[in-house]
Amino acid sequence: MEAVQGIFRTFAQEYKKTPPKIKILDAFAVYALTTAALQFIYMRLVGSFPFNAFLAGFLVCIGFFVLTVCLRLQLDKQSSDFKDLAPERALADYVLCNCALFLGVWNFIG
Amino acid sequence: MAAEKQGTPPLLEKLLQQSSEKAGVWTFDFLSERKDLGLWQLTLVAVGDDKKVLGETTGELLVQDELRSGDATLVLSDSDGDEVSRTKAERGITLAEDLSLDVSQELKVSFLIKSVKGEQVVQPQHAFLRLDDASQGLQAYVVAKAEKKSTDGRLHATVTHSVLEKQIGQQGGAFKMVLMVGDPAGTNAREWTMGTVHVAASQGGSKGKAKGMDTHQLPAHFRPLPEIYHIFQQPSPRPPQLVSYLFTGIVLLPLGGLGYVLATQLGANLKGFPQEQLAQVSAVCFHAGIASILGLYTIFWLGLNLLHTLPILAVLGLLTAASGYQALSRQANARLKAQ
Repeated sequence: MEAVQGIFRTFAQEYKKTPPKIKILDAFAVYALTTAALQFIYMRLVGSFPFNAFLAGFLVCIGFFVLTVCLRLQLDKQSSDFKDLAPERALADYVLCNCALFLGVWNFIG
Repeated sequence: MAAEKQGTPPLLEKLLQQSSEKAGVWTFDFLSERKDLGLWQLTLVAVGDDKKVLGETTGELLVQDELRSGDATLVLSDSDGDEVSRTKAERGITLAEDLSLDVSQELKVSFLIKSVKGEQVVQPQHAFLRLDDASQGLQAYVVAKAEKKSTDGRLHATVTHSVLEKQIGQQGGAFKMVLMVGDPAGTNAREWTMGTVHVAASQGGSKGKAKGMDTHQLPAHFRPLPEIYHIFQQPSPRPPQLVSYLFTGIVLLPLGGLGYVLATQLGANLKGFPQEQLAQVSAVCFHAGIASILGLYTIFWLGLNLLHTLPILAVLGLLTAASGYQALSRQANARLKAQ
């Protein structure tokens, strides 16, 4: 138990070093994931009717979460994969991808 | 004297006989020569000794007699024309046993109409077989006609389901068969209740089912097809309105939580917004473009279709891309300068 507590303590200490902009993206990712989880709980407890609306709501949350995590990876200075990528370019990609995702979801929601 | 039926060449030419009882009176016994009923046209021609025509006059003579129907034959046959049963109905007497007419069968009623005194076969102006179901208030009429090839003058009334369906629909029932005969040359009108026929309901009729018609006895192509029931999609069960509203609130809670965390815990602010005037304008345009695209999506969801939405989206997308490029490139330049 103490080992688990130690893991969480270390994580909290290390996370404090994370830049505020990355933390904001993390907050968005957690928000998207929580909303998806709540919709899934609703589907299990109450029902999936109308199913297309449930899928649209659930998948847009997951899609938004994935795109946000991708943006986080691109903006993280410690990540060696995207060192040459300008953060402005990453944001432009993120906005474009979100626009495409939302168009698909709005079309599917019924 | 010449006698002819209306519209036909002279049928009879006879010399009048001088009456022995009264001088100057000429007589002719028409009925001893012809017993045909109907309207006759008489032409009286006076001829002199030198064969010269002295005068001519015309007149009409209606020959009437009492009409009487002979015995009737009722033949029931199936769709192939094979005789199923043959019943003889004596004149004026109602049959003791009822007949039954199935969907694929036909009933042919044959009879002869004669004049009583002349005993001549008459083709009456009106001859019908009336089918009467008083319990349902239904009546159907079948015209009796002489067959074209027949020379005996018999009249035939053929009862089929298609004939009945045109008049009373697909209803079946117990119908009284009443023979009705009328003619201007007849001194009487005949009406004879011959018997009762049970008509099975056609496909879709109600009585056939009620009487338990055994359609399995029929050939396959005459059996009624199974009734088609349209199965509509049952609406899925929906939760009570309160539950829907409750979960809407619960799903919106993380958004409130996000706003709270951003504002208080993470210190999100607008300090990074460009200070330069041109960069500020392009940044505002970029954000306004994103907002307008999301607004367009909402309008698309509420009422527009994709074909209307895409051209507007293309215009908004171009404007947003142009302003975004300006805003982000200025920000990148500023970042590089600062480094």
